[in-house]
Amino acid sequence: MQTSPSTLFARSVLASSFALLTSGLALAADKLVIEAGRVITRPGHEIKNGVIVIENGRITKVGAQGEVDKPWDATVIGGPQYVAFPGFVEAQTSRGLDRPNENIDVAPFLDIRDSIDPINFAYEDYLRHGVTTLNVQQGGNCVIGGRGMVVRPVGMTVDEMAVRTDYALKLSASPKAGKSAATQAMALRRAFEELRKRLEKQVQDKRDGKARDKREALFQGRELEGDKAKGRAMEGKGWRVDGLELVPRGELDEKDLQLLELVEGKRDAYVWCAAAMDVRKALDLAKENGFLERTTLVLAGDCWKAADVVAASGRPAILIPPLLHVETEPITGKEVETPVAKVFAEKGVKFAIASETGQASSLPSHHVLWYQAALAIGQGLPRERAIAAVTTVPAEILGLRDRVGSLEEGKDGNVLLLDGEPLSVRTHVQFVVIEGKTAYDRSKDIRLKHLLEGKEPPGTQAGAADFGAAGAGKADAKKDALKQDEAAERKAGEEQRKADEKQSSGPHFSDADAAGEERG
Amino acid sequence: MYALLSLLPLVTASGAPVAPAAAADGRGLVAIRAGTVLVVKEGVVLEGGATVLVRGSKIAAVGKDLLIPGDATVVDYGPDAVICPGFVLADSSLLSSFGSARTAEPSLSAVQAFDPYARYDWALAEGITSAYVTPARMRLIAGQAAIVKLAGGPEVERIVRAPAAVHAAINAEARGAPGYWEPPIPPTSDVGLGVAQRQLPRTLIGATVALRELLVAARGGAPAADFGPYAAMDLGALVQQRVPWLVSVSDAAEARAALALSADFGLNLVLNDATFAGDAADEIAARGAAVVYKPSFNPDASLFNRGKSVDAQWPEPDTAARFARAGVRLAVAPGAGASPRDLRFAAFLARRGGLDPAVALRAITLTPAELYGVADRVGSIEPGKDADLVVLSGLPLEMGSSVLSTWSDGTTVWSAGAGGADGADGADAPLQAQPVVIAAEEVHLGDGHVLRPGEVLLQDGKIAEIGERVARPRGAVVVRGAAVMPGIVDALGFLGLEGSMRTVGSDFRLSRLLAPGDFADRRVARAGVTTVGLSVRQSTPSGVPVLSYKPAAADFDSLVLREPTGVRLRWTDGNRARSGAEVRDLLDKLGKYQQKWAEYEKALANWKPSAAKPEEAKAAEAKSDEKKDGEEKPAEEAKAEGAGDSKDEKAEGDKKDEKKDDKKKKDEPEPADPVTGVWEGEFDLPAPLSGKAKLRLQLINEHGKVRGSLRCDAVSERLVQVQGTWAEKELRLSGAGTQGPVQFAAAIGKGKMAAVLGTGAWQADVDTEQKSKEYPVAARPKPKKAAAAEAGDKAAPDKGKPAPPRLDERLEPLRQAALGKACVIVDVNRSDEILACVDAFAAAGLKPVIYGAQEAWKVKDKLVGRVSGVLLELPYRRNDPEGSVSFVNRYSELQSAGIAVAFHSSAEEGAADLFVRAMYMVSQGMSAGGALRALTSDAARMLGVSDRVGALRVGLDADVVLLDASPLAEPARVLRAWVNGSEVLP
Repeated sequence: MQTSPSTLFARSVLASSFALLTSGLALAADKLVIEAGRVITRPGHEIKNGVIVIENGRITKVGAQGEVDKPWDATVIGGPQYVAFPGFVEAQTSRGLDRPNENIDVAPFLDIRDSIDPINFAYEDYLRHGVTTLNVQQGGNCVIGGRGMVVRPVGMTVDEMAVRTDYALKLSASPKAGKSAATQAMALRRAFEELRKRLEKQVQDKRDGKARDKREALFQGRELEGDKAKGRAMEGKGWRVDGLELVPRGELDEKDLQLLELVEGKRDAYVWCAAAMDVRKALDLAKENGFLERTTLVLAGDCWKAADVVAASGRPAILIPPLLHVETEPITGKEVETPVAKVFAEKGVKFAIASETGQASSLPSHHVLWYQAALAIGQGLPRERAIAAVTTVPAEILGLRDRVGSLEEGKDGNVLLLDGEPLSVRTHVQFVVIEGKTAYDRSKDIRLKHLLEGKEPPGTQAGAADFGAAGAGKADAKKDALKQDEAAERKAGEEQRKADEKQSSGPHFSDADAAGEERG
Repeated sequence: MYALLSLLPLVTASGAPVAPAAAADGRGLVAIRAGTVLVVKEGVVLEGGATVLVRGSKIAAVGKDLLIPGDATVVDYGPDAVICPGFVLADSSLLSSFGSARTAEPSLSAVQAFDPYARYDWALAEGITSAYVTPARMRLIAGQAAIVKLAGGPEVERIVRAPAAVHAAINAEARGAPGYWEPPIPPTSDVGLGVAQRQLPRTLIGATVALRELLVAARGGAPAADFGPYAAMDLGALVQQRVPWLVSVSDAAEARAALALSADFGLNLVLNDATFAGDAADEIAARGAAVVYKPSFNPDASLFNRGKSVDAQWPEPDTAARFARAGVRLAVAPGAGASPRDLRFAAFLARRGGLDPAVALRAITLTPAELYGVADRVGSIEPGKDADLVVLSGLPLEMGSSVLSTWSDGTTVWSAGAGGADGADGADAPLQAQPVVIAAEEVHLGDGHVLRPGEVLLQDGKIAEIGERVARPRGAVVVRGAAVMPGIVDALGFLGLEGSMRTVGSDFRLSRLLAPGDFADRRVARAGVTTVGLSVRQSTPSGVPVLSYKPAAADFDSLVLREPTGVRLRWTDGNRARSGAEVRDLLDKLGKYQQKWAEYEKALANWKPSAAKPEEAKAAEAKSDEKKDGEEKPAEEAKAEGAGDSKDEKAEGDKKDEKKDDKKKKDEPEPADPVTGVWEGEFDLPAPLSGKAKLRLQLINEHGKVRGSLRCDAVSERLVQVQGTWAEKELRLSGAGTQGPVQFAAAIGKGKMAAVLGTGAWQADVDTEQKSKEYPVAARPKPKKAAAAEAGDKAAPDKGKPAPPRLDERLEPLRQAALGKACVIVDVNRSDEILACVDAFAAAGLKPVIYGAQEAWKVKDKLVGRVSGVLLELPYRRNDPEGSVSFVNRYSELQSAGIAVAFHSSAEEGAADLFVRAMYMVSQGMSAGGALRALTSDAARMLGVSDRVGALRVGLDADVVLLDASPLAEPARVLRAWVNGSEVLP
């Protein structure tokens, strides 16, 4: 893979910043105490001069200063000027991937862990803006996409980042590029029909005593021992294939397993809807195939017009920016603006706000989760509702309600330290603690320093001298080395030129042999 | 809750859907009325006013005389509107989506592609309420189509029927499938990367063969593997349900191939777009197939070239008619590429070749509904069907008719004029902006010509076009009737005086009395009289004003035609010797006045901006200053004395004399004229009366003759006009007050007058003081132009620029009459006086209108060409010979002599009978054409407003009257009237 200069840069930055972090962590052991002037544990609940104690990555105590015993050997960070806030939870995103979608229409066998790029700028950006848990899914340009995973935005490998792997399938009720609404609906329907046919054929083969599948499984190297040797009847509320218990699970095609789990109601699904007409289609599809109770709708565009339908189904929704929908009224010709989040709130839909996944042309502000929540407040959403939409509700949707989303005992130690009121443009994330480890320190954010103060990052040619005393000596040495290199190069170049001249001064059109010999 | 509005229904002002009363449970009743209702079923047409009763979303009843329950909302579109069923698109490209890669994909469903949140207002604006939608095109079998409603939002069930048809093709469309190859997943080395395979069919034969294979496979025969695993399977279900097939064909050969297929497989066949298949019409009829005909015209595209070779197919315009004649069930849809908006025009084009209009209308309503099996819900206006209606300004397939309102499922989903420029910011009143086309069997132009038949277009308050067939601008109302004539002009009427008997001076602005459009005014207009020449009841020798105006005008701006329109003078005096003296006087003054103006105009023409004589300029300025003072003072005085009595004095003309004198003498002090001015005083009332009384005199001295007015409550309730002499420092005045004659004798000292005032009953000594040396000008609102002119004079006094002579309000109408822009009406009866009058006026260069003219018949030969016209007073018959029972019609007598006559009412709302009087005159021998002229154009010409009213001519005001029979030849009634282009409503 060709690494672009920006990736190189990012790598160097992250490497150096990570180096700083690890050095810090070595001292802390696994106890961390966070002090803050205000501790917002969950929407609507605040502790003045609060203390959070995190041990082994979990919050053990949350309370006011006087009430909480701080372990004597814990690292203490924070101060009265900070506001402690639970880490934001991104309900659904497709940033940080190699590419958001594949060309194949129906590809539930793909796993996003093969696509996540840990040093993608997106994760750094999420960290900077205080998102501590992300649900990474494929994009909406598919019929049935691959499985996603829940990650934390720190880690050099996918395993380090993983919070929950092999998580949910992504489906799209809106047409994939190159498809129309009718063909998309047909493809979705056929995916499940074909699954059903294949399963029925396998059952029929087993009944007929054919051993083709077993041979195929062995040929493909699948396991047929233990659990895999047993068949299990198909569960599911939508449709069922009778006799599936005759087929050992190991003989089922790997490519069918994910959809089968989906139909059996054992896997979550995120269904992408870009237009209001797709909402009903998504819900009908989920209902027909038995995964309605595990469906979360991802709604963009004018889906607010179908808010009644969403509310009636009782399913939660994830709202994608832009959250102010503008359209032209056909009779008067005037532009009408609708605050999407407010509409859903009024209809009684449980919704989370996510950042834009890049389906449409997106503004940079669309990628900042807290900003979208703040915009929603400005458009009329109650403040607590907005905060819940980026903390507790997505945690619930991801099934991590007892792990993330609020600062309560027993939950993961994902804490933000803000320097002001949360969801304000004047407030910045100063510290991000992920599971008890300080993952981000704004004062040491190299990229911000470069952007705001003009300090060149270390490891780059021009900026070596600027970055603190420690690097100064090295910088000089490097400069000398560079100079030497340049001198050497010049010499080499001159010599080469002489050699060339010598060559060229000789007869151009001499025998080929002589020229070939010389060049050798 | 009945309300009548011309073509805008009762409730929709904002374009929002009309919610029927108590519609929460869908049981609200709405009664929709219009002049004509086209039921479409069996070609039934209800004319002369019919009602559609709608309950909830369904039609409850249709009929001419329905009993409407009291709680129903009534929506009345007027007698010219036409209601027909909402149109059904037999084929459309509303779902502009591309199809499956495969050439045959029967399971592709239009329901999945239809967006219930999309807005189809542009189609609803053309009356289309239901449409056939297909998920794809350009394939052998593109998918399953559906019939959907175009209005209603996501709450309403929008799918009327699905699957409604199998959308197939065997013409060039079928050959449009791209290459197809799908890799196995995951790609393995067993299956190489393939190339997109070309899909069949490529020819007509191929298409036919392919369809046969599929149909055989669908019935359970040999599997059609080329088309994928799904094609035959999905098709089987559709074939079992006997879903109709909409097969696109182009020419007769393809049509025959499709017919053969349908015969073999028992398909319910509808041929789509059979533009060139006219030759196969009989065979199509024999098989019982139907045709969706699409005329090959796309209004939004440039004209396309058809091909120059011999084989090139040029579409025949009469194909649809051929199909209909052969007995094929015919539906019509807009052509390929044309917008669905042009459905009505497509039906109009389909009529070429003789297609019956009822069949053409059926082709866009009931027939498409029957073809796709939704005729139980849409397609005609019958009880039990959905309330999908279109309200138009004329017949739907008539050129120029436009959609006024569209109803879908019992609610108004679109209304003309709602939203857009109107709405919250709207300023235009839609009623006024609406053009009107009046189509009548007889159009009487007012000057004697008649168009049989003819049409008149009224637009923007003017007559825009007259002809046998005029343009129909979009949104025009079409009114049909038997006869149309210009609005009647009442040459002399009193409508507007409200019973007042006052007399005013000829400089009084009658427009101050008027208020437009009250109930009586409108009734008079609806009786045909649209313009009235208003004057006061009593004429005076010195003149009373005449004003022509339109009583039924909607607002002040359009109320007055011209002010002043003229003057009415009285020639005859009680003292015969003095008959005409004042008028002659006036005419003399007129001569001088005219001369002054002529001089002024000549000087103005010769004037060039240059350094002019400063003295004259200053003199001019000084004069204008004095003028202003003179005017302001009486204005204040008039205000101080309060309203009530008309303080209108006669304008003085002698200011000009003074100014002339001044000019001659060049800034010398004014000559002593002790009499002219305003005198006020107070005196004690003699016995038997008691108390004090105030006296006010306004006098003007004209070379020894003094006239003026005296105001003294004790003497007379009203202003007393006095006249007398000033000789040897003695003033003698006399006049007549309400309580008797008044005598005044006075001696004038320096600004003081010692006088004796005597009435018949008593005498009193009065001392008065001269308050002002100016003879006051009547307090009247200064016309803006004059004020501006004066301001202009003051603002930029061009040195040496000749100043215009002062406007004499009394003489100005006469001067205008001499220029042909005003009228002079003179009351005179005796023949010798008539002649004298006419001579006098002729000397002044005027042609008067003779009023009264009892003996005009005696001198009628001498009057020809010298009078503008004659207004006769009762009686209108003259016994001839004198004393016998035989009589002569005085009107026709004069008219046939070549003298213009006109009818006048001399009444207020009695003017409504003017038309009946004209009918009477015709019955008594007057020519009908002449009577019509007398009512309209001659009257207008006499009043001098023939450039505005009185005839039906392009550019004149749109004052038009609709009758139910030929006017004056038959007993006609005035049915409706328009003033300034808007209808006069009761």
